[in-house]
Formats: sequence, C-alpha cells, structure tokens
Amino acid sequence: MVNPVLIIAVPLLIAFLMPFFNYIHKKLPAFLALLTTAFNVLVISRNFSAIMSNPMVIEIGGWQPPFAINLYIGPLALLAITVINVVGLILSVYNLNHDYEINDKFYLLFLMIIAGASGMVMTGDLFNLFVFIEITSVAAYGLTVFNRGDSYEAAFKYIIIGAIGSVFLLIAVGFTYASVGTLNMAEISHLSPNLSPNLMRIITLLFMIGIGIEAELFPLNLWVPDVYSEAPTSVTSILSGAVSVAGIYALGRIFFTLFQDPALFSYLMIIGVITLIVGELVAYNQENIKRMLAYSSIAQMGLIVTIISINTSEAIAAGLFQLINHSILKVLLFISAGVLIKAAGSKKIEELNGLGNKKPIASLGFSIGAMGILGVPFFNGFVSKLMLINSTLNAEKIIITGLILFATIVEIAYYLKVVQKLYFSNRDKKVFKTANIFIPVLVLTIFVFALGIYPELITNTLNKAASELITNTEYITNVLGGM
Amino acid sequence: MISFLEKWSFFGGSILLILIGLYGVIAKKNLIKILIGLSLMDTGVNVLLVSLGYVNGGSAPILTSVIKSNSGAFVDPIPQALVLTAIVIGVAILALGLAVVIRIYEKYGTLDITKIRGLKW
Repeated sequence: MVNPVLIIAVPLLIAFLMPFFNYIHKKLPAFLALLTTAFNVLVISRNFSAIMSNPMVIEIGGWQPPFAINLYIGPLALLAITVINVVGLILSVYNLNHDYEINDKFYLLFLMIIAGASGMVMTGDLFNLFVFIEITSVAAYGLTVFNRGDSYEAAFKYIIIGAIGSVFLLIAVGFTYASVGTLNMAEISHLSPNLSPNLMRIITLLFMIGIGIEAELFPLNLWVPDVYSEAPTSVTSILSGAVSVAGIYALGRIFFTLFQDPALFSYLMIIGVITLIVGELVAYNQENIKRMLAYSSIAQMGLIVTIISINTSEAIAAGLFQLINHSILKVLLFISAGVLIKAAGSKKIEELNGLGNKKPIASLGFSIGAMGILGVPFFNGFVSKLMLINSTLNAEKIIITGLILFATIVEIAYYLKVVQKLYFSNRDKKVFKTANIFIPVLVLTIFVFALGIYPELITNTLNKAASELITNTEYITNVLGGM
Repeated sequence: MISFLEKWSFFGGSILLILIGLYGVIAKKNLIKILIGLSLMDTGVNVLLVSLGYVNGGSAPILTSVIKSNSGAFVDPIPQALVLTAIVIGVAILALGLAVVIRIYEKYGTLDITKIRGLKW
C-alpha cells in the first residue's frame, strides 16, 4: 500500500522544481511530467482494490478527523481520481509530441491542475476544497494564455468569472461555518439536518454558483467557449476531461452528502436542463470546431447534472458512467481536432474539407469520438445512453427521456457535419505538417471499445459510487467513527 | 441605535462592499476598474468572514504572559486563518489579472472592453 496523499503531494513538489530541472536539461520537464502522472496512476492502481472493499480515511498530520483536515477516498472519489490522473497521463504522452511552443512553466501549471483536481476530489474539508478549487483555477488561468493571440481576452474573462465564483464559494464556506461550527464535511453532513431549510437553500445556492464555474453550469459557463477555443489543445483537454469531473464531484458532495434536501434537486435539475438545451442549440450553429466542441461539452455537463438530480441510484450510476465516457471522448475529440486545426491552418469547420486522407489518424480519432458521443452500438457512449434512458423511464421522467433523445438528434446533425466534411469532400488547399498523435488516440480508442463492449469492467464501481452518494450515513461513520 | 450598529454594521458593511464590487465588475467598461471591483468584492468577503468569528469583547486567541489561561473570551481563530488564505489567493488572482490586462493593452492599445472585439463578450 502506498499512501494516496502522494497523489497530491508529488505533483506539487515536482511542479515547483520544474524551473530547476529545466536548467539541467531542456527536455527534462516533459519527461518528468510524464513520470509524475504515471506515478499517480500507479499509486491509484496499487490502492484500487483496498479502497473498493473499504473506503480510506487519511488523517493529515496524525490529528483525528473533526479537528484537522482529512482525506476521504471512497468508490466515488476513486472513480474521479482515476479519470483525472489517467487523462493527465494520456495528455502527458501527448505533450511529448505537440504542435505548440511549450516550456517548463507549462508543465509546472499542468501538474498543478492535476494536483488541484485530485485534491478537490479527495479532500474531506470544506475550506480545503476551496483552496484546491483555487489552485486548479489559477493554474488554468495561467495555462489559457500560453497560446498568445486572442487568448488574453479569453483568460481575462475566465479570471473575472472565476474570481466572482470564488467570492461566492467563500461566502458559502463562511455561512456554513457560522451555522454549523465546523468545516469537516462529515461533521457538517451529520449536523446539517438541524439547520433551517431556508438557510440551507441559501448556502447550497451559493455553493452552486461557486462550483458551477468548474462544472460548466449554465449562467456561469460564458468563459468555456472562449477559453476552450483559444487555449492550447492539452489545456482544453484537461479542463474538459479532468477539471469538469472534479467540478461535478464537488457538486455531488455538496448536494448529496452535505445538505440533503429534496427541494434542492429541482433547482439542480432546472439548471441542468437549461444548460443542456442552450449548449446543444448553440453548438449546432458554430462554425469554429473548437467552439462547437466546447458547447457540446457544456451540453454534456448539463445532461449529467440533470440525470444526477433525479436522485435514484440507477440514474446516478448512469450519470457517472456518462461523465467517464465524456472525459474519454472529449479528450480524444480535442486532441484530434487540435491536429486537424493545425493541418488546415484554420479553426473553421469549412476549412477542414478532405483531411480524411491526409491526416488519417486524427480524422479517425475524431470520427470515433463523434460516434461515441452519439451513442453508436459497441462504442462506450451507447451503453451509457442506454443506461440514461433506462433510468429516466424507470424514474418516470418522460420529459427528460425526450430531452436526451432530442439532444442526440442535434448532436448527430453537428458532429456528422464535421465527419462528412473530413471524408466526403476533396482537398485543394495546402496541408500543414503536424505532430504524431498515434499513441494517445490508440489508448483512448481502446478505452472507448473496452467500455462499449464490456461495460461490466466498471459497473460494480459505478453502483458502489452511486450508493455512496445516495446515503451519507456511511460517509459520516467512516470519517467520524461513530462519534 | 448604537447597539444596533455595533451588531449589524460588520455584516451590512461587508455585504454592501461585495455588492459595490459586483456592480463595478458588471457595469464598468474599463478593465482596470473591473479588477478594482473584484478587489472590493474580495475585501468584502474577508470582512464578512472575520466578523462571523468575532466574539464581543474577545481578545486574540493567543496565550501570553498577560493572558495566562483560556478562561476569558477569545475570538474564533478559524475564520481568521481562512481570511489569511483568502487574502493570498485574492492577491494572486489580482496580479494575474493585471498581467493579462497589460498584455491586452499592448495588443489593442485600449482598456475599453467595448472596443476589444477579438472574441464575443
């Protein structure tokens, strides 16, 4: 057994040593980032079965949980950190061979995002959650401007929206502390049923504003299209594939574990449905391929939030599966799209015509990602969409079933438009030289088909994670030990 | 009247500060003024947090040669610890924002957001 606290500590340590390693050799930071993320995945895999059978509570500094910060890793957190760190590992492989000018500072911030997102997922302390959210966001602000060009405006917008969100998050943390008298999540969830419902609603809405920034919920996601279209490819991929997972996880912790109030789920569902509809409709009209993927990402987050807010264990398991699939597919789509954009020299979908023969790997990667999002059989998206529709029908939410099907039709329209441009038109313009992305595309494709053909790989974990969210008594007794 | 002020001026004042800051961020067109609004919001939240942990007549939670036991009233130290962290984070974000503003000014020669139209606002 290796102590999982290293998942946060090692990337932070290596991150701040990056300038030093860069001084020794220019190529060293890229390989060290790869080694660090590989180390994280190794730590998780060594602990996987132990955590599955028994959730792990780690006391930092040897103080008992209610008095000091503790980490909590149950099946849900395990699922989220696995996704975050595997995405980080795949992107580190991609970073070895990239199209952008990146240096040691890039890897510094990249490792900080991974440490911050893992910390958001593992922490058992509310203020610690705030700090990790800020670590993740500040690193993301910095990474956004790596491409120069229009990225400064995107970064400014992101900073303003992110900072307003962090103010609301801090107010929420302060109100929680003032009303409950503790910052330990288990103790808050133990004491929160005594709070007055109105106070609880105000606190939860403040949390929703604060965390909705990371989770890309509707009124707060104005930064997403700009940042996703201007930031370097691997930054876009990690924001979409890892940070949004951490955001949804934090949202789930607040709504399910900390403050259990059925009335709150209807707010969450309304926000989710609006996010889904707006995202899909705006994505349909986009001419810029990265903006299209960004709006598609927003729509998927809306879908996941909607499904999770149905609050049955079946629906939550389906939503989590969709979240994992979304991470895999969006990383695949973004790195393929990055190569296609570089090859065409433009972000316009029109300009991508006929690249199917010139850039076979990237085009195939994009097509596989698109099929996965649409839910073609044998792709992972098919299984999760089936589970989504099944769970909405069982919960008798026919309107949401209709919405999912409607969203799929819109998705077919705009994803197949790109695939058609790639394969069924001729290229008469110049094709630029691009980086080789064979290994990341291969690994992600294996994931896509493995989960699509044999979903039993993770259904057990999903069900355990869903039951962890639905009832918080196990969480409380695990941390506080029946105090 | 005075007791009412004593009780509520911290909360009212800090929430007022947050709202003034929010107004500045939303309504102002100048990038620097937007960041000033952001800074006001941060300050408002910090005052709010400290006032949440304030105990009437309490002293700093430190044992010294004058205050030898913890029997007297102490203010709650945890919100103060939170505020210290929040101040550091706020300063970092402000510095990053100003750095980005410098780059935007170099590129467009203006600080007016209505004149910067590289992306859709």
